[in-house]
Amino acid sequence: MTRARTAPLGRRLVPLYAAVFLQNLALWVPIEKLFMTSIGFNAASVGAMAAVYAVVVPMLEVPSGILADRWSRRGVLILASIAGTLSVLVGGSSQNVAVYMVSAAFLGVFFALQSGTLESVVYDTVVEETGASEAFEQTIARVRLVESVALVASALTGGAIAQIATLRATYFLTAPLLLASTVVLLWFREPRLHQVEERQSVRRQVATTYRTILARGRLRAVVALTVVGSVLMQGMLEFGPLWLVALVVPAFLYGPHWAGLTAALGLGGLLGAHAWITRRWAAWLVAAAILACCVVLAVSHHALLVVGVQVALTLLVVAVSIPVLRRLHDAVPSAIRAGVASGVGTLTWLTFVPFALGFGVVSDRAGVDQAGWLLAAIGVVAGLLMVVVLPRAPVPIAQATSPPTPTPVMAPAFPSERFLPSDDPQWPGHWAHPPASWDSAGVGVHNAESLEEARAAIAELPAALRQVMVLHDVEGRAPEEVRRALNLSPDQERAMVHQARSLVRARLEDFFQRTGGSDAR
Amino acid sequence: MRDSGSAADDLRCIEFVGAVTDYLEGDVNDEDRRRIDRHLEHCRGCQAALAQFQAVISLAGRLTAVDVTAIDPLIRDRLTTALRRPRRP
Repeated sequence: MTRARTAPLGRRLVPLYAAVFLQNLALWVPIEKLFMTSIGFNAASVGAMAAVYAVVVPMLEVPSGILADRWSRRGVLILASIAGTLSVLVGGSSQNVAVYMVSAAFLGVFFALQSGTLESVVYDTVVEETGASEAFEQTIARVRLVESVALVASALTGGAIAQIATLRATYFLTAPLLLASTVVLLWFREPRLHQVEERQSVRRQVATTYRTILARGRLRAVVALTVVGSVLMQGMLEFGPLWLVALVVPAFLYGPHWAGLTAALGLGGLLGAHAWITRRWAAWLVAAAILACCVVLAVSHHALLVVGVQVALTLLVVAVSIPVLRRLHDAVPSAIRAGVASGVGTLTWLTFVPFALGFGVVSDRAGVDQAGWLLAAIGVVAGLLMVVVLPRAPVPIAQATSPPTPTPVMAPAFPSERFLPSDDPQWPGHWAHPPASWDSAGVGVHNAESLEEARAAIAELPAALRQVMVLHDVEGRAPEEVRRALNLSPDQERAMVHQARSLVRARLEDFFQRTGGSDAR
Repeated sequence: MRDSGSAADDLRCIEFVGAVTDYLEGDVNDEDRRRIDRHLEHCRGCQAALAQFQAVISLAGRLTAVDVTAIDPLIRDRLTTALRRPRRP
């Protein structure tokens, strides 16, 4: 990817980076537990609040992703900011547990709307701006860095604000930041790829989205790796501090520990943007390192080592998630992108909740280090999936995994008026206006201009036909391979190849008539 | 153009162009192939149509997937509008 091609991409994404920064500047996060205690939360009601998230987020994830696919990704991100604003306003004014639960529900809406949608908007902007997905890793790594800088900044400033003002002030001061993010998003020019692709009914789109998430084959391993990677990362963020408690670590280490974990979110992204991480040896190395980190957490009682290993584990898991995310998005057509990405988020939740419960039970009974073996088990699964998924080259174009469609009514290869009518007494169905030989048109059929015309003609085909033609004629893949990749029946595949070639032929005929001056009629 | 008939040729040109992709992909039975070959022997219109499809395939084979998906940002907007508009008359 050359600088010349990524420069306009960088410029276009500036408002999105700014919006991500503002959305993640959650000043209230460092004092939330303190504030909750001050309005009467106890262990049981904290658990109930976690249940609110566990219900709200997975319920809304896929619907919000489908909304983003059908309506607007930018629109859904703006709705997320508005939900976030409501959350901090209700949270800051709450005097009791019940009202704070409402705030938590709004925060759940914010997470559900934002997750999946943000990655999709980034992926589509990269493809629309550069024509390929190679720059996705670097770009999403920048987004992760922006998020991580915002988290660190809010951890620092939120604490300081609480010192000089009140705990409530940290909530209320977050509201203008979220509102500012809605304004900044209006400056962002949304990619239109998901609207260029053919539109389907809501029912069909929901079916296609779920079918894609749960499809057998390559995508399943990618989805599984995304889920176990997220569980490891969430596990570190949620339970990492428990090790510090168990090891009676001095309080001054809590700050650097948290800063290390949040910084690892951003630095891991930068690491993951490097191409070498998907080499076979690197995949084995990282898989072994992740497993080693989990084992250290299960056996070590050395505070500094545990802190360092937690940061390293988070960093590695985030690094791996970057190329995995590209493989996920590469395999999904734009029209269902946010829905699928959100669906994977739902699977993560559905996996994390039992993991968290199991982790809680084990660490309660046998100690957090024993619960570390649960991490090691997940680390083994993640490692195995990594060596399978990472070294595989990403697919060059999005492959639609839509349910089999009835063979569309295709336009004929040549318009019917070029043939004599079927009731012609002498030659029914024979040529009235036969095509001329292109060789006689005066322009070489195989020269650079003809090639450019063919290129433009293929590039302008409707997305579904272009996919088929690219696989079949440009890349010369076997029909069975094309059918498998695009989930088409033999008849559909053949009809689409025929239709695509016919459209390209018609356009080349126009071109040769214009440039060669040879009239076939 | 009336160069397409003989006693042995019972194939209409419009049928041939509808089956040209099947023919090129080798997906017609022996009998149909013989009918088509007989027809092609003396129908210049269908010979040209076949040559045009072969030219399309050959040109497509000289391109790469990146050629047809990587589009100069300056003309992309024009192209995406063209995609959504009905094809020019």
